[in-house]
Amino acid sequence: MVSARELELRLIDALEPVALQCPEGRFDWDTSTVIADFDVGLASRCQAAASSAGDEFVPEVFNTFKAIAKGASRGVGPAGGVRAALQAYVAAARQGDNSVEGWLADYLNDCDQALLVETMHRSATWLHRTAAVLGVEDFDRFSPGRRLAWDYPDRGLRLKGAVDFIEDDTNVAVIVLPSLDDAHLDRVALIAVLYLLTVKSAPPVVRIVVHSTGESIERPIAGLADRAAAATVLTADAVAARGAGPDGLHRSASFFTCRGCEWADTCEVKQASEARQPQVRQGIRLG
Amino acid sequence: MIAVSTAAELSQITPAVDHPRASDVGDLRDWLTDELGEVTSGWDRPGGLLGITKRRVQNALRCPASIRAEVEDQPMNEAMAVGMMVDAAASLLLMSDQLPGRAPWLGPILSVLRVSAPEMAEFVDRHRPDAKDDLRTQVEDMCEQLRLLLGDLRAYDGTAQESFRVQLQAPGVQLSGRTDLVLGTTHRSIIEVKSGRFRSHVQDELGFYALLAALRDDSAPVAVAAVTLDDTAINAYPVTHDLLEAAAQRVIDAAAVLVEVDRASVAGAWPKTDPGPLCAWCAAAPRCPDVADVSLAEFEAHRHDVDLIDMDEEEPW
Repeated sequence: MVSARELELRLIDALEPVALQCPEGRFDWDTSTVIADFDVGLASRCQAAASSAGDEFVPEVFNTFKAIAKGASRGVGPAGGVRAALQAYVAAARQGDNSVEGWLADYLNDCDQALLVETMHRSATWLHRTAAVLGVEDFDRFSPGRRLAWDYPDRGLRLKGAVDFIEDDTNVAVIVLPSLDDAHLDRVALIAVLYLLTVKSAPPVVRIVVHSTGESIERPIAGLADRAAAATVLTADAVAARGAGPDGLHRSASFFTCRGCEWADTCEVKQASEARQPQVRQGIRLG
Repeated sequence: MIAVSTAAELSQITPAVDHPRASDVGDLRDWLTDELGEVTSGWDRPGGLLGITKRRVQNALRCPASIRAEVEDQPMNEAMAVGMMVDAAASLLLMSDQLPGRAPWLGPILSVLRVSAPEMAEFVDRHRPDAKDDLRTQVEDMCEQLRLLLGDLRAYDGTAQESFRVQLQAPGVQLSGRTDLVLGTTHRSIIEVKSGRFRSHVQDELGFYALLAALRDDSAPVAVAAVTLDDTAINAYPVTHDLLEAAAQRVIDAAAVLVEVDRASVAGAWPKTDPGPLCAWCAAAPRCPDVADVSLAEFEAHRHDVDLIDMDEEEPW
């Protein structure tokens, strides 16, 4: 079993080349580099997208439904199902309940009815699948979410992420994924390592819940450390290239990677993808 | 068949006498794995899992060459837009407390599509005002039919646009799909929404979904149903062992075709073809050697005898 300190030393060693490019001293919001688990997932798919400055964070369907689902999770139980829990949560948010974060409450108050319902059905589906894969009828044994952050010593480099749930009895972190691919696993690796670094008494495993396949898997955190470091370096390279254009960065086109990417209009990889190249689709060659 | 007047009634359905047990599903998985192993053995694959979706099964068994359409440009069209809009409406109806009343649908749906499928929203926005009015009328009518056929879902929990993936590692095959609606938790019913009419291929699609759900969860859904708007119908079926076995056999047959399509590509040849009215929908038809000699206009005349449009794509993320 690897201790949190051992894991931290491994991470410090692996990230040294990245850290040396960051300003000396303690973390500072204005000058430091922040690498979030979302960036890691994005860079794993397309470094260019992760290097794009992107737009300022604007709450919309895709970046709110999980937060809403997790917020409503404690309301799922014998008294009411997922639908009732979500409705109660949204009603509370609209009435100024302090337990709902301000940005989320603003979204729930301001978005039009159709988008609210669209967000809600995604939240409902997410909660249903999470409960089904965990094999539970309610979330009484789980605490929703926890934000995690770790700063590289004496350098302006911060890694951050969040677990979806923590199982109360065991302190095991639960990370929920739509599917289990390399990019998602890179994200999981970072989050798992951050969890162990932040919660020193954390158990040595994380639970990964996969909606599309119905898998619920325990993975040792120590076994994810190298993956987390490599994925973070890949992401840091992308972040360091911000403003310099996508040349030399790994690229891959998809709805989510290209959405909001400042290079999308001129990206040859995206153009090739739209021209239906390469001609291997889902495991067979076509033409 | 199960007689229901609304899809919501399926939430009350209990398993049929011959509903497959978990052990039956396990046996089916073993058989399917073995059969797919036979199909893929000795195949020099390009890497990755052989992907099988309901659309691939459908196309492979109709005309192997139609699989080539996957690498052709598929310009958006009205039927795709309508199909996507009724799917969006079904998702909204699952959760809304306000929309189940007569509602102006096009605006709310476009509001959703601008976020989830911006290209489709732009396609609709590009319509001339009169054409957009026609589309509005069509969508409003269909959504009203949909609302009536689904019934009041507010008492039931369920999912919309749920993704299913089943990986069979030994033969290197992945089955995947996305359902429009799944109602219920203990006894689940899968509901497919179609803008067109009920046809035999829709029944096959329902079987594919039942198979996916059974294999993924080691538990078969209780029922599958198609809500078809052009003929204002609900066709619901209990999930039985025979239904699952037939769906599995179609997957095996489709896998064999897909391997042959790959082999033809490697040999620089065109896959086997089966020209007919469906060519009017096929993006590969303009380059298909067996269609080139036949006027596509002949097929165009029968274009609306078939309805195949379904936006069941892989999840992008």
